[in-house]
Amino acid sequence: MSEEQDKRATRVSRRAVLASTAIGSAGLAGCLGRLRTVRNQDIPDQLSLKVLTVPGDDDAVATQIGRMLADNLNTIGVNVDLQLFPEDELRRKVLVNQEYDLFISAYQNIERPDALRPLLHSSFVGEVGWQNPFEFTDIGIDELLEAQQQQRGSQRRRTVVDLQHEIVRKQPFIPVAVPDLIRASRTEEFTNWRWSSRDLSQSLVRVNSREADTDTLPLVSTDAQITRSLNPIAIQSRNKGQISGLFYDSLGRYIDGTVEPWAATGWDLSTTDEETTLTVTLRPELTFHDGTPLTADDVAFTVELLQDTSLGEFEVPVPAPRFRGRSSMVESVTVLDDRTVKLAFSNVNPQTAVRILTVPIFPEHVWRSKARPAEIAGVDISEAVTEALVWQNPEPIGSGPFKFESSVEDEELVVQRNDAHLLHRNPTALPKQVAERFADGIPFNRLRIQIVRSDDAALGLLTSGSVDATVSNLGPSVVPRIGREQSVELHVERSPSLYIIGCNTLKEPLGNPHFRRLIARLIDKETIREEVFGGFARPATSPLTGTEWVPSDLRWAGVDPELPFFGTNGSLDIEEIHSYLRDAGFEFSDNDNLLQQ
Amino acid sequence: MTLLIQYLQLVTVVTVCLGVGLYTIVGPARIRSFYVDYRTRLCHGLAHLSVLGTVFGISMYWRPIGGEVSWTLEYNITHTLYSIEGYLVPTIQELATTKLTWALSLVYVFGYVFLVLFPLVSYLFLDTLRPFRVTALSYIINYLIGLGSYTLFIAYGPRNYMPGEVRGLMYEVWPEIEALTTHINTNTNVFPSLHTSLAVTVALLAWYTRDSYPRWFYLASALAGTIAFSTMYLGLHWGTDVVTGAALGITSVWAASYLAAESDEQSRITTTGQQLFATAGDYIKQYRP
Repeated sequence: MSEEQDKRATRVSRRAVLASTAIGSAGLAGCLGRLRTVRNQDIPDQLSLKVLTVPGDDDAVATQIGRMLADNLNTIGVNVDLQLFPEDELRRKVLVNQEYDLFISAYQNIERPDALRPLLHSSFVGEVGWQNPFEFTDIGIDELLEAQQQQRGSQRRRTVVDLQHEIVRKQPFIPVAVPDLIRASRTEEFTNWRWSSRDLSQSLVRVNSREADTDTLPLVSTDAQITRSLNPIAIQSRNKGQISGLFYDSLGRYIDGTVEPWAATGWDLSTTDEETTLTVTLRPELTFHDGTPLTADDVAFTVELLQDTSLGEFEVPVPAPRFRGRSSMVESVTVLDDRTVKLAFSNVNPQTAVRILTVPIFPEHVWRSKARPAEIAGVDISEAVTEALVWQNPEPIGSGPFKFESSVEDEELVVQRNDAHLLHRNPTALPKQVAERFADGIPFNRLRIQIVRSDDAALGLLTSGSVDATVSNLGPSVVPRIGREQSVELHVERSPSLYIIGCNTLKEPLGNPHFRRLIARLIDKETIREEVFGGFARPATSPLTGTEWVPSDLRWAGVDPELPFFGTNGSLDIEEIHSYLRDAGFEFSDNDNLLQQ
Repeated sequence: MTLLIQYLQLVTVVTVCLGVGLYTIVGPARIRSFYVDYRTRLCHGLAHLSVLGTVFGISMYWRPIGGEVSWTLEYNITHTLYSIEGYLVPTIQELATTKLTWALSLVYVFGYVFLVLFPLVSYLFLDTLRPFRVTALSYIINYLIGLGSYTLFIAYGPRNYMPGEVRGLMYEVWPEIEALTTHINTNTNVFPSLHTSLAVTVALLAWYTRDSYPRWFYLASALAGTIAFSTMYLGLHWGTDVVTGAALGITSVWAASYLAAESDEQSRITTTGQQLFATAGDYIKQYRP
């Protein structure tokens, strides 16, 4: 019997049974029917939610926001379980497996409107990484995200304003605060510390040494991950732009907010109605750390690898989660000669298109072999994961200003100055802003990053003089201690990151925008700014808070203009919350537990 | 480098403490009489020490694997521990002063290692080795149960769960020690407190041997109480970990004294050890020219 016939047969028999029951034993059937109805109308259980975040050792700010949220959810009658996961484990839970209800995390880089596209567009649902981890789908927002990518000038500006209003209204995730970057350094041996948030190498070129030959610049970081994996596109890796910029060059780099030529001498931009093309010319004589020349083939290979890390081997492409927003814009890439490559985009404005130039350039001869399926001890473990996404890349080979020297897991990472790099050979060829800052060369041969677990330990090493600066961002709780130390300088800068509460919109009741808006209103952003950040943050209202794109009616005005805190001075107004939830169709048990809908 | 220095520092301080302890607690008379039959005593003790050493070695080796197992099982009990006791640890931390923090940190690190090692040394000088055997066995039980619990449960300490409210006091005054503590254990293994369970174990055993070493009983109880308190004061453990740890300590001593043989001849570990050592000795003799 074919499948079709099979189905029909079942349907017939089921109908027959139904009919016979109806006629034959109306009494019993009626009774069972009532039983079924009653069974489905049991008093629902208390609503339970799992809130996931990292422990204090990894990010004390996220832990504290998580605690506040958990306490407030508990107060309104939700059964909360606050679970702490180390950073890589949290990534696995949230960004790969989507096993969560709510999570608190810092999203690393949200400076431009196009960064919202991979985060929220429905076409990215089901991809791993920061590609729509909320599983959020909304036609209106999709259209606005696409429109802003094509439009320019004031038209785009208007679209981005509409987009923010829509996002703020629906709260697929709750923007909490934009933190300041806090770092500390000593000024006895090295001076002129000026930190760039994105790129450690740009910070380091500005450093001057008081002595002529200093062999090693000792630094400290709390990010042990840099001693475990140096693969910039690994699934579980955090945004390691800081460190990967040491090893890898990109065609262009963001310098003071615009993309400037770096490994490229420049690019020609041409646009028609539909298509934008970038024709990029590489600098002559670029080489990777192992001596292999860097050519246009490597650039084209990198873009192809980011778009599909299986390089066409798998049935379904496996894009690299990182740089996904950038790689997904590129329509085609063509090598014109050894030093020229043409990138074509459809429906992308030039301002957005040039972002592709900031991805690291990978050597084809190293990475081509990583396009195979990922394996553990020689066994294929997945048909959807490639080696490129799980490889630890223990000794990275790039063309960047520093070469890998050695690494001891959870203890230290040592890198060497790459004297063949343009930054040392001929800095005047680089963008003026970099060239100016870089007058006397990098004043050390080696960079040693020591790993500690806590900010307290990092600051201890700094005050005792064992290291000259902290690389990782410090928590606000150590700021008073920095102030007490004479020899230590504090650096506070704006950061491009954003603390968010992510909602798994596939889980009830988080699919309900009314409930997500309630969660936003359980968070007192002003108290968080003062108590958790010690003032070193700005409360976030829109996901683009901290950029010039936020319209005046969405800016922080002492309170959140759209979703003000449900209460005063950190304590909740329970009455008001109950009536809000009742209006939204929720019910409470006799002992004020919030019930599942 | 820093790690090596930390270990050297620890070894030096503890060795000095053990030396002073031997002189003041064990006393010259017992040390002199030890010379008479020290070979037999060491020989008898060695079998138990080897077993203990093996268990310790296995537990160090198991920790990273156990960590992976914990994350796979995912019994994350931190929130439960917090729900049980709430603000106990932050309340204790209201007592914090720099001097107290230093004192308790030193006791937590050096005092603890001394407390745990001293019985293994001093009980070799007693007339009977039974207390020594009970000590070794109860340590083994502590380790095995502790390891089982660490593998089964994921539990972060108050310092990690309530940052902002609970301070990592020890790392603030003594950042260098972090290298040592993180080398020995991971921050997800707080339930139960092995510091407390072993300290309680030692204090209980000291009570049993109080007739021989009266001073040790007072010192051991004082140290044990201080250690249990310091784990909470320093923000490393929950009160629940400490209570469970104390229960584990008591259980292990009870179980060990039940299991341990009355005499060396009855102890299966000692006799098996003797046979093994003898065989090994013969083996070496055979191949030596």
